[in-house]
Amino acid sequence: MHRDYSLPKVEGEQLRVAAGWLTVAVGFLLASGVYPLLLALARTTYDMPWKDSFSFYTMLVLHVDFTVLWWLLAIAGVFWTLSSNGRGLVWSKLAMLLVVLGGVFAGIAPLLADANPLTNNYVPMLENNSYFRNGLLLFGFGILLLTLRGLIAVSFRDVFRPDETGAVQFGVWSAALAGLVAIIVLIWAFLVMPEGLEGRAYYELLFWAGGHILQFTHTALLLVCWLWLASICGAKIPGGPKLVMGLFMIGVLCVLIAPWPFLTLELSDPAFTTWYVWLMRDGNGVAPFFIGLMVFWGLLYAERPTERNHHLYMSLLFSIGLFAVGGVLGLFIGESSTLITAHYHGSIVAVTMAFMAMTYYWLPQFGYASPNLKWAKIQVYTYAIGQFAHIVGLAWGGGHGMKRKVVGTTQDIGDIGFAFITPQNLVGIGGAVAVLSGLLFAIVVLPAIIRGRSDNTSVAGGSEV
Amino acid sequence: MSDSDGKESLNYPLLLATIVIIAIMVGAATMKLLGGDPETKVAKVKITKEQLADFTAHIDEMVAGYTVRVDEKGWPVVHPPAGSDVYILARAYNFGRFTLELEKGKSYQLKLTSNEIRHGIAVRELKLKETINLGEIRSVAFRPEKAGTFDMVCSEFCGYGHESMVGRLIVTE
Repeated sequence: MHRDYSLPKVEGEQLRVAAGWLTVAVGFLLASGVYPLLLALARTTYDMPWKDSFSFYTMLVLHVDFTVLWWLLAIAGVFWTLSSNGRGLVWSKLAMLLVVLGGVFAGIAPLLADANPLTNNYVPMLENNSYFRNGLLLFGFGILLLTLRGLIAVSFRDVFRPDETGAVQFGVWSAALAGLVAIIVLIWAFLVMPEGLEGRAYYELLFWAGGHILQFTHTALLLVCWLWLASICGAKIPGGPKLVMGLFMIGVLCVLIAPWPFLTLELSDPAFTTWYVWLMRDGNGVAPFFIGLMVFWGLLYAERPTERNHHLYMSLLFSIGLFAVGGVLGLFIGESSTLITAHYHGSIVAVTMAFMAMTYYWLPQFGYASPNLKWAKIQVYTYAIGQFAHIVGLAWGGGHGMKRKVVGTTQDIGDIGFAFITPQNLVGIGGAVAVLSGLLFAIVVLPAIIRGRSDNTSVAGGSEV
Repeated sequence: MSDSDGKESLNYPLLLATIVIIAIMVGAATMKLLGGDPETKVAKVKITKEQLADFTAHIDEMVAGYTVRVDEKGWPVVHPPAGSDVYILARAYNFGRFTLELEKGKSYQLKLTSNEIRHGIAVRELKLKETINLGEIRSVAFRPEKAGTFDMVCSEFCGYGHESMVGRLIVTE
């Protein structure tokens, strides 16, 4: 008997709400890809109306926010809905409405008012733009409701049951806990912010603690995806559910001590910021290392992928590989360079790949048409290859001092590389391939979503393909 | 869940691919570690908080004694004579509010310490890269071999202002 790491089956209204979150997630992933396209069109000879509203940095802010906040947390909404006991769904629907409204406000903010884009970490900002700020606030309230429901509307007997399903439910629950603590420390930072700070420094400090803790949410759900996808691929995962729960518990403990620096240090103290880096680096790396090894071991002895699960199998492998590369690169971070970008892309793209694979898996379960498997497979390979090339280019350039968050000649690092390829070439080509294959994901997934759901037979959960 | 006939077989292509990828990563990391930092003569001395005040006084003396002009930011450009000690205090988030000017091919003794947590100093083009610890003065023999204007950046993550911790070093012919 294989160990089946998956959430229990749900149907009816609960499934409809989960499908709603999936649609919202795909919509915002698509939206995040629209901004680079607008930028490209604005550079043509045609006089595009948005030319003056969307600078490179404005695009970068919206692209990052829609990817790491809206897309990832809407997928978290799917998990928290599937894992819940079905009570209080109205709160999940209200949260969805707020998240969508917030996204619409934030997305069109540059068209409605001037914006000063700030490339601070975690939640890049459009400063002095009330539409963007209010959109972000609506989104924040939505996520607060979502995480509270994800924590409360569960059967605690199931969440702490020491079997495979219980381990997955515990992982999903721990992600909600991290999400709630991230919001709490964000509000705390706002309340104790030293006077006189403004611009980028203000927002760096405001989002620093919450942004770091939010990574525990992403990581817990990434590990749930790895376990679930491995079960779908028929892998027998060694170690057992109690070990998996213990590893998730490390994340829970880290999240629970997260408010500590607020009690002992000033917000502006350098030790305050380095404490969260330490917590994330040392606390958020243990569980992925061991669960990644366990899943990989299972895959080594699993049956070869079939036509039906090849895209899921490869997504899982690429996700583990990207996360490993991102983690190793993180060990070499020193001065500010694109090495940091490479590390972050490796880690966060691993999450995105796993979430994309779950989207492919969920579509037919949620009552949508199955995605085209051939194109899904092509999308998985091209996205992974593009991202690997992008990351290698960033790491290579970063090793030679290539600066972060700049474009054009400002990324000059002299004659580095070979006649046929340079770090900048790899970043550009890999990034372009990754963006195009991100759009391909939308092309594969959107027709199924647009055709709508068949509600009669749909049941989500388990690990059948 | 897919059915299994119960017979387990190792996926050799997957294992081989993984070994190759790990070997490449380890190789790249080893090259980075071995070829990373240049060889420099370094001496370290422990200091107390009181001695840190003396260090700050040395900086003030250096700035007062060797300022040759003011740059476009309004900062003093400090040009210590060849062979002298150059005092740099790393703090959140600057290396001191002055621009340092040195001469190409001349030797200096950099005296480095930190005001709070661990910082670093790196001038990639001049092959300078040192960690700067709290409670320690690090003396580094330094001879710039290239003329130009360079950024001195912090090479150890030191907080939210780490990226903005950039000083300026001018090397004259």
